[in-house]
This record gives sequence, C-alpha cells and structure tokens, in this order.
Amino acid sequence: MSKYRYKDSKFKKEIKEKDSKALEADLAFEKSAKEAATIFLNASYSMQERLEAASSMSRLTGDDIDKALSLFRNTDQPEEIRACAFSGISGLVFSEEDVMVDAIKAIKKGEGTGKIALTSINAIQAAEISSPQLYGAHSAKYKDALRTAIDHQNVDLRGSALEILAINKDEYVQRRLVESLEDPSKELIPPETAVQLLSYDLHANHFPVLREVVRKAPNTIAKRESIRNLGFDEESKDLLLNTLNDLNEDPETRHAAATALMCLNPELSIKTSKKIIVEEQGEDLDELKTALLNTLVFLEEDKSDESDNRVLKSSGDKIDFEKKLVEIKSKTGFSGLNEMIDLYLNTNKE
Amino acid sequence: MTIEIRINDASGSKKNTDYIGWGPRPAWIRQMNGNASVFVNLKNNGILGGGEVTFFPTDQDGGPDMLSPTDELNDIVLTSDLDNEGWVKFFVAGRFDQNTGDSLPSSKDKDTGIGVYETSNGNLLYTKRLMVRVRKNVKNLTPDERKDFLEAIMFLNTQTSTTHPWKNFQDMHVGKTGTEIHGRSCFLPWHRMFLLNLERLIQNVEIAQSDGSVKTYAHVSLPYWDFFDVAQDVFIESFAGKPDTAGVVQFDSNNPLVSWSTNLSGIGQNNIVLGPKLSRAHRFSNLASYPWNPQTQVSPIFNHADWSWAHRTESQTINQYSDYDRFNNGPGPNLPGLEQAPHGGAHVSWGGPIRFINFSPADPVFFMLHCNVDRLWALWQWKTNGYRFDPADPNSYDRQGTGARTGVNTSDLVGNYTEDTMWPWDGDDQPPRPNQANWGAFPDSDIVNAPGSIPKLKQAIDYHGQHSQNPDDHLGFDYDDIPLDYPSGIIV
Repeated sequence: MSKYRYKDSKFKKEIKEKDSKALEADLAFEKSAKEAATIFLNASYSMQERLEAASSMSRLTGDDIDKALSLFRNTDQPEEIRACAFSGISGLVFSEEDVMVDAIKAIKKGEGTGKIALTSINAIQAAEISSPQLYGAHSAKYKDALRTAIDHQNVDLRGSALEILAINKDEYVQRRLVESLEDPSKELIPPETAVQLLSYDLHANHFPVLREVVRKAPNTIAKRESIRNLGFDEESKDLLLNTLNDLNEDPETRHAAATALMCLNPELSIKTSKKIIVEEQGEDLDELKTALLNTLVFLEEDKSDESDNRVLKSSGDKIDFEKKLVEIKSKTGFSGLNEMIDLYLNTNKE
Repeated sequence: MTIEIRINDASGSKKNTDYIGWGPRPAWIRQMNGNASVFVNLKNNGILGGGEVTFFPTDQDGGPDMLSPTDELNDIVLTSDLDNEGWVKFFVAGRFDQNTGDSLPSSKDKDTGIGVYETSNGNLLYTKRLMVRVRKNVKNLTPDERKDFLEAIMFLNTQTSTTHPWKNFQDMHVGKTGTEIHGRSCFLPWHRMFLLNLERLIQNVEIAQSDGSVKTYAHVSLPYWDFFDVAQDVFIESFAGKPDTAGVVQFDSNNPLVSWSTNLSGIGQNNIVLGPKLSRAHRFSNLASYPWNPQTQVSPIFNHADWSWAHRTESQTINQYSDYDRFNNGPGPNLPGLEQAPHGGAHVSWGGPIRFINFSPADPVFFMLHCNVDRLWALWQWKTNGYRFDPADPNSYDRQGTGARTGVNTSDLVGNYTEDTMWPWDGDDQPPRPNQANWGAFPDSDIVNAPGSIPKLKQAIDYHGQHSQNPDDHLGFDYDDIPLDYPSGIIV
C-alpha cells in the first residue's frame, strides 16, 4: 500500500519536516537525560550535583536500571537518592512483580519525607489502569499500605492515599474522614475536601456530620458540597428547602440545594425553582436563575398523569410560567439567561 | 424537473444519512418529473467557509473509482425513463487536499452542499445539503459546536432513556472488566468501539421541540483533547469545567453540565446527574505540590522527573515502534507502550474519578482523552511506513486468530484476537469474559453498516477502509488531521 503515498506533496513534506524536528528534540532530550543519569548514578559526584542531575533524568534504560534498583533498595543510602533512583525506574511497577512489592512496602513504611512512598503511589495508580492483572494481584496489600499513609506528615502523600481509599469505598477511611470533620484536632485534610471524598460512598450515618458542616460552615465550599450531598437524607428536606429559598445564601449553594432537593422531592424542587425564577428580583440573581432553569431543562420530567403532581404541572401553570419567562427575557441583559430561556421554551416538556 | 440525491442509503428509509467523512460514501442521483434526459455536473456548493466535497465515479464493480477523485463530476446522464427509477450511483467524500494538507470539514450541520448544474448552460438545478462530519480537536470547536456537544451529552443522559446510558458506559469500564479491556493488545480496538458506541448514541439523540419539530444531534462528533498540546479554553467554566480549590468542578450557570455529577455505584440513585459533584483537580495527580494550569501548560506529567514512566512525546509515541505489539504494549521493562504512556499518564494527570479505572468514564473528559488516544493510534496506522490498517498483518495487530477460553496469561485469552467477537456487545458473560454483558448490541448508524450488532476485533483496525479501499468497512468516523489516502497522485 505504500505506493499510494503522496510522497512529494507539500503536505507530506511538511509532515516529514515536522517529524524530523521532533525526532531531533526527542534525541536531544534523551541525550541530556542519559548524561544526567550518568552523573546521578556516579557516587563520586557530590550529593547536590547528583540530585540536581536527577531533576533532568527520564526513565532509565540498560545497565542504569540495575544500578538504580540497587540504590533504591539500599536503605543505607540517603532518602533523596533512593527517591530519585526509584523515580527513574518507576515504570518497572507495570511489569515487574518484585518492584511492585517493593513499592507497596515503601508506601507502608513511609520513610522520611514520604517522597519514595508518593512516587510509588503515583506509579501504582497508573498500573491500575495499564497493568490491571499485576495490580489486581497486589491491590489488597496496596490498600492496606495506603491506610498507613493517611497519617503521614506529607500532605500530598496523605491526600493521595485518602482519595484512592475513599473512591474505593474504604470503610476505615470513611470513619477517619468523619472524625476529621467532627473534630478539628483530628483533621486529615481541609473540610471541603473531606466532604468531597466522603461523597464517593455516602451512607446514612454520614448525614449528621454533613448537616453539622452546613451549620458550622467552615467555608463556602464545604457548606455548598455538604448541601449537595444531603440530597439523599430525608431529614434534610427542610434544610435544603430553606437554603434554596434563602435570599442571603450564596447563589451556588442555593443551586446545590435545588439539585439535592431534586433527589429527595423533585416536584418540590421544581416548584420552588420556578417560583424563584419568576418572583425573585435583581440582576444579582441572573446567574442563579440561569442555573436553576438549566437544571429544569434537563431534569424536569413530565409527571402530569400522577395525581400528586396535577396542580404543579397543570397546563395553566405551564403556560403561566412560560409567559413569565418571555417577560424575563424581554427585560434581562444577561445573555446566559436568555439562552437558557430559549432552550427551555423550545424544548417540549409534554 | 426535480432532482433527488440520496447519500449512504439507497432506500431512502433512514433519517440521518447526509453525513460523510474522508472516505468515499455511496450516493445516488436521479431526476423526476422530467420530459427528457439531462446532462448534469456535480460540484461543491456549500456555505462559504463550510465543509467541501470530492467526488469519485463508480467503477465497473460498483465501488468508488479511487484512481479518479475529482472536484467536479461531469456529464452525468439523468434519464427521464423511470422504469429503473433512473438512479445513477456515484461516490462522495469530504475534501482533504492531499497535496496541501488542507482538510475541509464542516463546522455546522449541513453547511456543505453538492451542487447539481446543467452541463449545457451551467445553471444550478439543485443543491443537496450534507455535512462533512469528523472528530476535531476540542480546542478548535466553534462556540456552537461546543454548545451542541454539551447539550447532546446531557440530553442523552437525562431524556433519551430511563437506563441512563452514561451510567452504562461507566459500568462497562469497571474493575471486573479491567483485564478484558486493559493491559493487553485489545486495549486500543476495544476503546475505539467504546467511543464509537457513545458517539452513535449522541448522534441518535432527538429532542421534541415545542413547535412540533424535532431537534437532532446527528451532527455532533466526539472531540479529542490533544494532551500533547496546550488545551487553551477547554478546561474552563464554559466548557469542560474548572475546579475550585477543593477540586470540585465548576461550570458557568448556562453550561449544560452545571448539574453534572459523578454517579458512583452505591449511591442508590441511578441517575448520573444526581450523584456527588464531579471533581477533577488542576494539580496533576491531585497533588498540591505539583500545580498545573491547563490554560497555558501541557500536563507536566509528560516530562517531570518524578514521573519518568510517563515521559513521552507525540513523536515518540508515533515513531518509536513500527509494530503493534511494541507500539501498544511496549518493548520491555521500563519502556512503555502507548497504553502506559501517554494513555496512563494522561489519566493520572488529574485528580478525581478520571484517575481511576472504575470511575473514569463518569467524567466527560474521559471520552475526549480517549478520543485522542484513538487518534494517536490512527495517526500511527497512517504514518507508519507501509500502513498499519491490514487486520491480517501481525504488524498492524499482533494477536491473529481466535483467543482461548482458559489460560493464565490474559493476553492469550478470548477478546484479544482479531477473529474474536467483542465484549460486551457479543453478550458473552462466561469466563474468562467479565460476568456482565447485558448492555445490548452495538448501536446502528444511519450512514454505515459496519461493524454490525456484534463487532469483531478486526473490524476496529481498518476503521475507514484504507486497506480494503472498501466503503463497506468504514465505521463512520474520521479525524480532522488524518486523511484517507487515495491510490492516485504521485506513485512512490
């Protein structure tokens, strides 16, 4: 098939030139990375020189792999040297079982600043996607090691371990996150992040602490995300409704309350949102109205045949709401709201 | 006299047929109500700045004459004898100038036109509107293209089905399927079909309008996130979202994704838009010490010393290895193939669900990321000397034949070989396949028949018929920067 190529066309020539330049750049990078590795792996250079060289290294190849592996495994070597050595061979985690085991041990031990453990997590996390068979064989031990890492002084290491365990619904980490939110002296991560991680697997016993975060409101994001995650808590219906109706509340938090209420009581959320859109006044509410209408466009479902919903969705109300939207459109100068009104009016809700 | 042109479907029974890519698609033209035969010329007559077309006459076997691409197809005789309905077959493709490299895709639905001109006097008799629909770099989408893509995925998820298609996509990618679709050669073909499955669902979205009309999203394609290039104005509130300091993704109030959340199993609600809020940190791998501004930077993961396993450039990805095994799987320890880098690196560039195999499809960015992974494969197939489109060539795909039902090494097992049917569309839930496969057959397309309801792995390889030169092999998608080479011009 190669005979069909447009070998001498301008297009093909440009591609060849571009590829040629890219190849030159790749080779230059590989050459400098190789030179950096030579310095790093040579103990006759000073510690400072070796670490500086390590910052320019790429993945190690050939004999350099064994040299780096020896450095990484030699616990008499300084932590920084071992961490850099491991960085250069971290790709072995994808294929070499003994290196995967070593990396997990490094996470569990969490030596020094935690740099080795963190580099190990970063490589193993990619192995989960690209080498699922090897990862799967060691995932239990990996998660066990991560449970140790959540108390490490290294903020990045702690946060990374917490995120991985939380998204994997680890019950121990969920308890620790609840404690972190309840008691500032046991704080593992900022409350807004703790709320987010807890939301990956919400259970009824998490709702009280989320309600408490709403009450104390350590910051706007923590409050807003707690509100959003109370959409599965029957006891929070009034809290959500009050938040949605609260003129003094942050608009994004009010919108979060609307989406949360959409889980608990869609009819109530829709009715309240429509009321806010047509009745509340002020340009500062345009963003909120746009977001509420946006949610209605996609999530409002027609349930007009259901007896408990007849009043809300009666055709008279529908026509009235749409008339008012047209009025709002004639007055507002906010293009986002205009666009959303058009989308709502054009989309058939019958 | 009335002129009629049909594209992709001779029967005229399908709805969204007027879409083409770079490969020649069958088309038929006839006159109706005429008193005499008429000679016509066909040439491009689209909206200025829109897509453009190239024509191919029909060869003796009824296929496209690939040696004769032309911007103007002249002297077609449209008879007035309608005993055989008078159809004249020709082929049409989007115009990708293979000498200058200028590709001319559409930027709006039906902004391209086939003009039918009377040969004798040059009068325009009719214009058939169509679209040159290809996958584009997300950063180059027009505001309307962005808006339509976002609307389409939200409507797909909330208005087209009670089974929440996006949740199904997430479930198809969960941990139990890890060894079926990752860590072996089928990684690329499987994800090619996965993307196409979603794209077809998007293109089939139809939303009833208040005036009685129907709005379709047949013109929407999946965009790709070129992670080797700075993706300016992509990860911002008006499109893919921008995280706040906690990593929670924020959207503009008029962005359809404003209600988008991740549905993670166990929540109790099956609607993806009513789960926890989407998170995706602008710190690579979610680490505070490693900031990343996607507005101005390529992900630092591709060259930072702490992530040596992820170091890769597009040039290395495409040009280092000319055989599929090393291209995808890597040649050996500490030397990555595409699946590890850049694919794995792009995933773990972010914090949040996209970093995790079980949850990554919950983030729409997953599909833009994978669309680029697929594009890199297509680019490698096209650029590698000798092409890599022949499914029977071990250099195009290393696992030829059929896989085993038992064995220790997942690479030897069914699902990884060219003649194997592809899970889950084949419904095979028996070991060694994952134990769930009830998401239905592969969706149909109105423009092509391939791959059918149960794809075979080999069908993913020659995705636009470059090897076979057969339009029947076209899967119905193309990339804006990868042409289908014609067997004409300067012969090498």
